[in-house]
Amino acid sequence: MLRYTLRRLVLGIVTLIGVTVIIFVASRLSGDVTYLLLPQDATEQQVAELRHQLGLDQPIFVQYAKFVEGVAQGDFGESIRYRQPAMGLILSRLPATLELAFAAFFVSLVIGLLFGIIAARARGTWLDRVIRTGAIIFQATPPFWIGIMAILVFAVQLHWLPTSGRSGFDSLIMPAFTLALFFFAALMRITRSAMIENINSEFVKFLRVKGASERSIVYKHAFRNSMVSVIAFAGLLLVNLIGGTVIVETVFAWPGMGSLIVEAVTNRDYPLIQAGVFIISVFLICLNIVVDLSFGVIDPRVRYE
Amino acid sequence: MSAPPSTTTTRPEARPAAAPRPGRREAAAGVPLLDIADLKVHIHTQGGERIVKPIEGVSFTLNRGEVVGIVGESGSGKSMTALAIMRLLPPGARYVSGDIRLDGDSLLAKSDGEIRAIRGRRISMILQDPMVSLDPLFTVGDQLAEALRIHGVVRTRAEMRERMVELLRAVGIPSPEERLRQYPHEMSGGMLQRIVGAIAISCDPELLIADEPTTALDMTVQAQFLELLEGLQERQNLALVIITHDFGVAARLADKVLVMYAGRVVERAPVAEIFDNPRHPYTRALLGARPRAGSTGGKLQSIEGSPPDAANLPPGCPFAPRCPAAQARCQAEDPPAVVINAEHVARCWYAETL
Repeated sequence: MLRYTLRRLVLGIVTLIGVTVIIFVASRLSGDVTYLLLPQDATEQQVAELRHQLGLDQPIFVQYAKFVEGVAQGDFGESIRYRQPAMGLILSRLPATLELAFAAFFVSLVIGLLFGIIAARARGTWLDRVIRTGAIIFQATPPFWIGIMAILVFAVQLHWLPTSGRSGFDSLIMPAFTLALFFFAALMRITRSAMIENINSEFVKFLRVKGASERSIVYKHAFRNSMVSVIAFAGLLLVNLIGGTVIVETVFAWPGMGSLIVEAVTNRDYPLIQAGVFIISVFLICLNIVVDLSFGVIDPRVRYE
Repeated sequence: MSAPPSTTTTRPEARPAAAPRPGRREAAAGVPLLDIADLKVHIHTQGGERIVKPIEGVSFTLNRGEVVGIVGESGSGKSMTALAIMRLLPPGARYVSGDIRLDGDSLLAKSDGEIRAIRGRRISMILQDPMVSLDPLFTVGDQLAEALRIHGVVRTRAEMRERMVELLRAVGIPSPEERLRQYPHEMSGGMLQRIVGAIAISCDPELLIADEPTTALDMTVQAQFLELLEGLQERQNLALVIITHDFGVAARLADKVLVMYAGRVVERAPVAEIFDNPRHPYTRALLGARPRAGSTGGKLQSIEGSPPDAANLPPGCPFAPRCPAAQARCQAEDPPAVVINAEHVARCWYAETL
């Protein structure tokens, strides 16, 4: 297990280095920044001066080395628009995004597993069909529509919850559920099919031969075996959630990182985009390591690979 | 076994299942351990317009310490019969008629809870493929302990430990303490089938069903496992139902043989008689189809055609379309069980004259 852990960590670091290369190259591919920063009638000399100032006149490897040096210190330069350190801006918005993503993740995990198990046990009955149909409806409905409808009902009509903003637990409920409803369907289906597959497996047949109770078969053996595929998918889901909060952040005026990055893209605010992409990548890499390690904890076959 | 040992598992030479069992009745004289009478199991497929008949009239009895071999092609209803005895029929399958009695007590009348208390404790089973019979996420020790715990056959941790080691020894597994800590994927198929065997006999059952227990194993390991099964059966005085498509396996272990075809027992006889004096054309065909030492070269005989669709059985004898001796009558009327002698029955119109 130690070797396995070390290997995952080293792989994570290698990936991170790859990320810096991609961010560096991609930002250079999308055109020369100087024309964005200077007025259209700038002279050749002004352009050359700015290029020198930004270090763009140096060899590409030197530029990359400087970029990595900055990254290592958390320095992505100043946001072109806000005139503040880009990393600082991203980090100030990060907690809101993480809060929303993890809340949505938790909600979709709970309802996804719950309904997945119920549907698997009720396989082929009306209950199974109702759950599956409901899941498809939520998955097929765009989150912005669900969000707006939720605001209309729970905030405008019923006055139960605040319409928007980030002010305590109340304001988290609607955005989190809106995001979760979109993602729970996939989790539910994965759980359901994994549970059905395991319940029909030979080892469950042998458990029945042993005289095991239905409860132990479903919750101890089938559930634990299903968790292998559920966790693989849940990791992917969390990644999607962190990257996919933008729309919900916009609908609910949630002051998160997603809306900041979208704004940065429209403004071609490169330092801000780079800092944002870097932070998201760091999270994805860490998440993948956590997912891989939890496989190792659950499934002995992974440990001995 | 005449007198079960009354002491617990401390004696190394004691059989693995040594705990005395309070409340276990001694067999009433004349009542067989297992008594299956005219069992029929049907499966109604979706909408109910198709009825599959995997078991269509199976009867036999089995005494303590007796071994019956059930032989037939795939799809003949052998495995379904095993599942029917365990009350583990697949969804949709129903007991249509007949009864299964254990010690004179109907298993079909038991509640789910009652049947769970019997499974693993009084009737146990070894499945075909050992590689998938165990939960991959738990150690062998966990899964063995689970069986013992379900039926409460051991009281203390020390007793549990001792008992588990003893069981693994009984199935011929070297360094059992180490093996208990291992996971199924760390073991070979032959080793796993021994583990499955150890779990199956862990609570000292009276009846063990082995459903093609060697089919998934390598040839050399097959022989070893059969030897083990034979030893366990004798030592523990187990009643054993061995399901196989291989007459050799039946010849080696069984006292009597049932030949199944299309969900029914077409011939039932003591093992010697099945080989010396088979009375059903299907039995003869099966015996002709098996490879024999000495008959070098030449092709194996095969049985023309394939078994009938269990959802669409012909009106007469189900074997008639493939039978070399079939007459007009065979196509029209299902033959009754013809009694050759007290032990020997064949379901063929011409069983006596063939």
